[in-house]
Amino acid sequence: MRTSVLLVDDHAMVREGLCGLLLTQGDMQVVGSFGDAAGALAFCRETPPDVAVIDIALPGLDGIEAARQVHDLCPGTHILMLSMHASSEHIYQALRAGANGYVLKESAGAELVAAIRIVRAGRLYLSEKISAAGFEEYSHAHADHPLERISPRERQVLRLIVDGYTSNEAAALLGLSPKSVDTYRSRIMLKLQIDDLPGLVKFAIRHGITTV
Amino acid sequence: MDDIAISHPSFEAAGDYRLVFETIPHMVWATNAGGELEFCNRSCCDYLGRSLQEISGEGWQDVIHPTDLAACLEKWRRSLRSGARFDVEYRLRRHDGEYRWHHGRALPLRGARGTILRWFGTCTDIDDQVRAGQRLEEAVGERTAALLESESRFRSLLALSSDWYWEQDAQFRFTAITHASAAARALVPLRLGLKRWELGFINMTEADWAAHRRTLEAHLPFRDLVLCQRDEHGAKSWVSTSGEPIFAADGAFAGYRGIGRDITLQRRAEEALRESERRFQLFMDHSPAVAWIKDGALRYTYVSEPFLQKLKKTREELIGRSDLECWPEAAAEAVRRSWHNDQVVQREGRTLQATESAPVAPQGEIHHWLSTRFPLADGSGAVGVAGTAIDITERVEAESAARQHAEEVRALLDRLMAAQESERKRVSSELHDLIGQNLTALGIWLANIANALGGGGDEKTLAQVASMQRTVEKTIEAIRGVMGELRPPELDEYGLLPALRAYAAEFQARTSIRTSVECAGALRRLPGVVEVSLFRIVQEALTNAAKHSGGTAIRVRIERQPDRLRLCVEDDGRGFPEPLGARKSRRGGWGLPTIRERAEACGGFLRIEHPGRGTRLVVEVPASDAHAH
Repeated sequence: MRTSVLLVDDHAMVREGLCGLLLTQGDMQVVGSFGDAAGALAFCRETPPDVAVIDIALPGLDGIEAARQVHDLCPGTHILMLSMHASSEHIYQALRAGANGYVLKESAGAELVAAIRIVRAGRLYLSEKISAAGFEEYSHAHADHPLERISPRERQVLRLIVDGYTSNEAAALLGLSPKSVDTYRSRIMLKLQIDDLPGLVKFAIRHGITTV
Repeated sequence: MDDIAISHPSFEAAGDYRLVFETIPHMVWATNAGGELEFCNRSCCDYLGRSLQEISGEGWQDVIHPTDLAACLEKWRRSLRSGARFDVEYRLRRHDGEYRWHHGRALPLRGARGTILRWFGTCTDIDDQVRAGQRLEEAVGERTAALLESESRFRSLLALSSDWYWEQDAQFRFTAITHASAAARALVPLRLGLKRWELGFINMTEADWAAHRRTLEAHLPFRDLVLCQRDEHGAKSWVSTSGEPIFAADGAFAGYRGIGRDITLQRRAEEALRESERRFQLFMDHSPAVAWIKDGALRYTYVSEPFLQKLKKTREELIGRSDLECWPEAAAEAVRRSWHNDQVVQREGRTLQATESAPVAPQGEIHHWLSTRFPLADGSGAVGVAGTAIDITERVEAESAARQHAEEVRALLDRLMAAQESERKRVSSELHDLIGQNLTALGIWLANIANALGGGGDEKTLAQVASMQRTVEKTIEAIRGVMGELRPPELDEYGLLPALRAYAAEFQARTSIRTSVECAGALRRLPGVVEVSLFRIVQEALTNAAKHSGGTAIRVRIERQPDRLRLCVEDDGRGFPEPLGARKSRRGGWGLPTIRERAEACGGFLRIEHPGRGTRLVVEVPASDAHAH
């Protein structure tokens, strides 16, 4: 089954270029292409795509906010942020909003296809030019509370996981698919730099998400 | 009539005189040649309250005052021996017990051969005369003492009030000089026999002397005639003399008498005082300040010439009046404050400085004064208030103009900065939206072309496409750099802290100077102007540090305080080469003055600190709600 991709960029030429880029990929299919967040959100509500490629600078509702809403609306969708900005803050904001990857525009032609595959597989993607180490240092220094690194929805999922709920039970409680809960879990572990369940439990206790 | 006395046998010979003796009011008596009382008349017995028998023989001694008895007996015996007349004054005791002075007198009656047959005596009451005499003597004694007392008083008064006493005869020649003290002797310029105008006093003109002589010739008193002489060393000394005419008992003019005083010290003190007063006046009149003195009731007792000129008043309008009475209604508020200040000085007894404003007649333009008041006891001992004031109107107006000018410059600068910022923002966003987006599209299309060519395209074309892709990529990178310089997108999107972090990271990559941005906790978004200003300040400070400090690390710290935000940029370099940058400002572009301007435009300030090594630039701006909640 091909990966469904949603494109959101206010610049038509960019959208067209991206379409052209992805058309040649046999495992990908552009299911929608929108110039603003509103259209994209409406589309997602109907048919959540596997991957949403969102320009960080959108007119009206900006890319970060659009990502946040897409993320809330369809947690199973992997979000790839497309941006001209290379600062750690932008990346940090994008990831906090629920993005799984961050691609610089000048690198889009070369990297986008690979990036889509990587986030589709549940891993984090940052453009090659971005120093992952620098970003990590930044996000550590930045967040005065690790909890700020995860979204409210992620916090809910975290709580259920550490309280011993299975993915299915948590999904039922939150009205999500079990697959989405898994996506959440890997994203949380990624963001918190925690590799296993005991680590997550410790974290949750230390920060008052659950009690002993 | 009792005839006991006349029946005395030895007295019978007196026969015919008996009646006479008995009828005269005088006390009469007789003794034998040996002095034994043989007879006394009735007046005697009545006066003494004794019978003849009682006083006969030696019995009479009993009525003589014991004090007088011895002298009396002595005299009596002498008379008896010599036959000389007996004359004595003594006190006899009257029948009522009172002793009264009597004059006793006795003469001998001699026989044919000259032998004394008997003594006849009388006693005359002279008590009134004696007592009158005694009283007179007492009075004279008292009077003499009083005169002596008066004389000594006069002398001491003379010594107190004058240094010498003089007398002149009718021709005005000095006839007597009495010095009150030895010291005065040396001072007295008078010479006996000379007239006053012959003594060489140097302060009197011919006309002065003529006037003085007219007074003397009119026999009128004169008072405090001041005369000056010069001693052998040329030093002046001064005397003051007063005199009054003397008239003889018959009213004839007999000359003058009077006193003189050395008033040199007093004169010198007066001259010093006058000189001091003159200097005070000169100082006051040439002072740029106005000066005044008020008494305990805050009425003017002195105002300086500049006071009158500046405040357009005459001395008569002010002296003796208080502020409440002197100034027009328009100045009521100024008067009220002045009155209050005066009272503070009176009450607290301290110096008080104040700036005051008051309209000045006639146009009523407002003048500003810097006044100093201080307590000053007035003549009556009450606490008055003295003061001086400088007209600082020009200074105040200049300061106000300068302030206004500075405000205008500041406003202009603010507008300039705002305009610059908005222009930068516009250019930055156009770079992003137009050029950035087009280049992005271009890049993607190039990638598409490269993909389309796939492995089948000729190498040259593929290489060209790849080269174009790189060019596009580099151009976008460059544009990103320009955008960051113009207006970092983080600043508008995420606020100061992210923008600073992004900038610091970029700065560190560019300069290799380790640059950290620290802030305890998150910052709430600040007003855009403040965020931009602080960001530009840090940008400027980092640029300065990179250029001048030679340091290897820079710390940017943001501290939140209850009512403000504190921003520190600290390097570890060599510190400022010169004090606080104003001189460097040209070379360093806008440099520190710009930072200061920006800080002040936000209502804050800039401070440069030297923490031992490097330079710490501190900016504080008010921020009521800097905390993130």
